[in-house]
Amino acid sequence: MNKKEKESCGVKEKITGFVDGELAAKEREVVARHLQTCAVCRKEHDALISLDSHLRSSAAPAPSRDFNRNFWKKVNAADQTKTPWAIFPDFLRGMRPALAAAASIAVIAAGSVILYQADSNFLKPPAPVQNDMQFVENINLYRDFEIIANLELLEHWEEIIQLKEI
Amino acid sequence: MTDTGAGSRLPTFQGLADKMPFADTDPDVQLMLRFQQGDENGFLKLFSKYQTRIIHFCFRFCGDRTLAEDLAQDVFLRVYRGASGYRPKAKFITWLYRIAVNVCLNDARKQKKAWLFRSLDRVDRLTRPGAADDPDDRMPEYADTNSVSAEDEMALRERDEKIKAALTKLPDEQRAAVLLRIYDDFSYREIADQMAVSEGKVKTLIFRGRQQMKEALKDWL
Repeated sequence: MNKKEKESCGVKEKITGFVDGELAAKEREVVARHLQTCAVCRKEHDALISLDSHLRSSAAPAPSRDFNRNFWKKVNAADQTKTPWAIFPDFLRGMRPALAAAASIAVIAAGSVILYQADSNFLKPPAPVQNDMQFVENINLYRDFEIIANLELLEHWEEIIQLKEI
Repeated sequence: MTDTGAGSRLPTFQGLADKMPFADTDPDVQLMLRFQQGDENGFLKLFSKYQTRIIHFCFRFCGDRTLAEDLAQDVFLRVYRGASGYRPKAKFITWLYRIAVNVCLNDARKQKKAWLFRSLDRVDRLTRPGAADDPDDRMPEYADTNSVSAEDEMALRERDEKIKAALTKLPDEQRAAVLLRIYDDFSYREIADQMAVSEGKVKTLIFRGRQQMKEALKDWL
């Protein structure tokens, strides 16, 4: 069979399903009939059967003697490093998503309250500092000084100059 | 859940079976449910029954004996620790292999770079003098050595090395699908469930995996 004929045979992909017994009865019949007449597909089919046979007969190691001992060591180690969830009773552990959602809502609510309070403090006038308090307490003393007592005149000095000129 | 009567507060398996079909038909599910209710013998039986299969799956997936045992222990550790949340929605073996697939794929992802270096290191160790003394590098024992000649045994070992190398060259998902199909005989539907992919994807993974394996082992076929 030449290259063109090989490409035209569209059953190749179904041979894997055929070997695995995964085709529907009708499709299986079609492929089986095709295999009787198509040498290329028959070769593919035989190669897959042979591949599976080789793979299945390849050796794999038996468990080592330490396998069980090492497993129980891991179990003990895992018991000693329990997750925070381990403190909850079993029925609560099953509610992890709900608890996590509740915790998230609580965190968001707490965050909102903190932000709101911070915002409110920002709008309030700042508390008087110590220097301001001293000034208020001694306001009468400051008024005794001429420069302070006449400060308001400076605000209208242009008008005062004009009056003097008249 | 129904009460077993006579002061027992444990639910009957029949009660669970009404809600979960596999609780009644799969004896392994029964063992797991017993373990869930505090009977450690249930776990021990499952551990003993499946440890070799899971080690083999992990070994064929990662190609390293020590790592395979480590991964298999992680699989059973997850079964042991996850007993309280176990719900028999599928056959026990499907659930067990789903865990095994997850453990192996996660490990492969984590160790992608380290794996490359380890492979190079292993090639170096295999070619150095006295390499056979390393227990990790020894070939697995064959069950019946009397039935094959020394030459045949050599040939089989060579073939197994080629199979191992060809398997490790497959992309992780293809390898997992091929192993589950060829070695553990799961249906495409079960493999799809274990790998959390569609049945169509399983079909493609197995087809491509087999084509690549066929090419790598063409001298043996």
